[in-house]
Amino acid sequence: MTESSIALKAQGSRGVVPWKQVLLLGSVVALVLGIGLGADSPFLLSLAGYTCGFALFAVSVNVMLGGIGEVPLGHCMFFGIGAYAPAIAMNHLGLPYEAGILLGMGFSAVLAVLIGWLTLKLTGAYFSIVSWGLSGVAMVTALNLEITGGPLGLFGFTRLAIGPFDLSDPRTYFFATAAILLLVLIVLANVRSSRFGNALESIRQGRHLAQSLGINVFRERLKALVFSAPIAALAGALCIPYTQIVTPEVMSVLRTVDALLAVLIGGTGLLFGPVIGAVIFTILPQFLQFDPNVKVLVFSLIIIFIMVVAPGGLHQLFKLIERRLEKRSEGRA
Amino acid sequence: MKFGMKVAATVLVSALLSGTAAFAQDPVKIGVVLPLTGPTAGYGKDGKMGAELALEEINGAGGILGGRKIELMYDDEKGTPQDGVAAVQKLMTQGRVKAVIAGMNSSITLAESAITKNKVLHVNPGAQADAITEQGSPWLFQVNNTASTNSTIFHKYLIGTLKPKTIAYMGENTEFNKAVLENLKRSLEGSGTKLVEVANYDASTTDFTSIVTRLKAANPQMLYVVDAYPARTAQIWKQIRQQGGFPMEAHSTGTVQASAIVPAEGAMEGVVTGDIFIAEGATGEMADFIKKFQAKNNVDPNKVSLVVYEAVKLIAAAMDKAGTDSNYDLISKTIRDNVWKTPRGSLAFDAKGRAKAPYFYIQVVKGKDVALRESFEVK
Repeated sequence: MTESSIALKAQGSRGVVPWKQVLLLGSVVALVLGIGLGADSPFLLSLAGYTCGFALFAVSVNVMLGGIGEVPLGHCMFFGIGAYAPAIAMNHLGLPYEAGILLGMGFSAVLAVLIGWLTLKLTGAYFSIVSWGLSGVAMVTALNLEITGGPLGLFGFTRLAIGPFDLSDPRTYFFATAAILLLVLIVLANVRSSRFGNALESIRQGRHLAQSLGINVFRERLKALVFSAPIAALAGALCIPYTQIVTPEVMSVLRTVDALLAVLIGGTGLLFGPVIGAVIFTILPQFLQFDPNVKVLVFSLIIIFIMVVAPGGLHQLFKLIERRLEKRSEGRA
Repeated sequence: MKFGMKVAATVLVSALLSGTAAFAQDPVKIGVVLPLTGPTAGYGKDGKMGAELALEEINGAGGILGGRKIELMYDDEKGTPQDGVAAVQKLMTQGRVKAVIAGMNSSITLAESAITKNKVLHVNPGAQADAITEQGSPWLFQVNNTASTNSTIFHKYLIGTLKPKTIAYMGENTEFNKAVLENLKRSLEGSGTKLVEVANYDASTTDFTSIVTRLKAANPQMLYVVDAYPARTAQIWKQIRQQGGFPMEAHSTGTVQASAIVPAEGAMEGVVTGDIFIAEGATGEMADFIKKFQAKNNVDPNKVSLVVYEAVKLIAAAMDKAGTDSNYDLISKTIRDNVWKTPRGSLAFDAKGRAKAPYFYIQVVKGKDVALRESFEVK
């Protein structure tokens, strides 16, 4: 199918209920309800909740990687700010968790403007290295400030709840994080089909060509960073009910690397690719019943195997199934 | 009919009895969370050997609570809070353990203790930050000394006995280092010793030559290094030795093990340190422990092996004495109200759940291990 025929199809479907999306959404909601109501183990439920939080971070990383084709090694800084903001708000300012989340998201967006303005003129490895450096600065800052609790971090939170939903209850925690993740994915789906989304796609495919078409490449790239930073901050905040402590380690570049791996395993091309990757990345290792050292080996081999058989990410398999189904229905018609 | 009823009742009762009897023979599961992979995996290995020895001894002596065996379930905290939390939660809910042993790194232990608080008995064998037992968790106990207890004794010795005129200090930027430095500054107040230079470095540092050069320039009588990672400790001392060393040299307490001394290849010779455990010159219970450990594992035990061994023993003994594996109020009260015999001597726990080691040893590095320099009875 050519690009223009997709566009035509999209035009034709305007005003008609998008059955495919509704079906997808319905099955995702059913899956969430199935896990949330079916699973009884607090361990599984809170792990599933944490997975949703981590997936949110992977999704945010993918806005940069899949969106404009940059590797944002320093994205862990926004995640860390998102985790520290509610912790500081609760322990030092006497503010509730929710207010802390919003503060963190706001602050990270403002910081993203500043950082993006300084760094987004750079591309490729240069951008990655500079953003990594900045996250290192953030980590050292968190290590040395009084307000961040220094090396030991912040802990002992009394209330971790969003409105009436108490996130210290594993089931509520899972439902809340899953709902937020879904909401963010819906927003992203809409953004992707917007003018801004198209501009990003054209920049990713060829920034010079995009520029020649009159797209302000720098501004669109900046918008992508400013858009993804609060999502990372939200993810950081949503991981607190699980980790129970915020240490400078949250800003470790290893966290970004984990998210990048999740994105690559799941696939950059699809919105929920990073979610698939995050599920595999956090839940699978818990069920490999080997000696811990063997576990690392087996898990690494699984990742290598996935990258070899599905280099575009696991979502390729879904695409394959989708194509098969389409072919069959076409055959019937 | 009546006879039939009687038979039925007998069958029922005997079935019930045999049911409870089978229940009584179920093992008591204890979860052990250790860093089995990651940068501190060495501690995990040492701890596991200690735990296995305790298990063998307890079950060999007939188990606890009227013949029930204990069973240890291990999980890996990998050196990060989120993995520590996952490990503890998995053991509590999937493994249905009756007690959790977890605690090597302070930040991870703090995260883990938020999960175990008011839910299950938690014994922290190794982590030293004062904040852990400061939180007031009623079922949380700590076998190792706190960082401040150890430092207070060690600094008193450094300043009062060795009497250097000047000290230079270097340490990794961690909570442990921060607590030790603050304690040192307090101990120095009113003494004739002056702190002339302080250098901090972060976890990724591998070259310490510039720091050592700077410290040498201050010409201190004593160099005091605070670092808890064995591989880096070895590297630091090698680089210090390359630059000629210092008249007096000290390393933080509780952190000098063979895993640092051996790779240092002699560079740590003569460095003064301190710990709650020393293999040299052990007598009585401690000598027994060391002998059994060596026979089982073919290596010498270290402090980490000892505290994990003691944690398993403490839980088993307290459950046995309290007569329950799940009434944690009673078990905790039993732990607080009694004095526990360990290889180190008698161990008692205060209201915060902190154990104070009966002895503290000032040691000096000699060959491939530490040698005893002086021992203190802790009051």
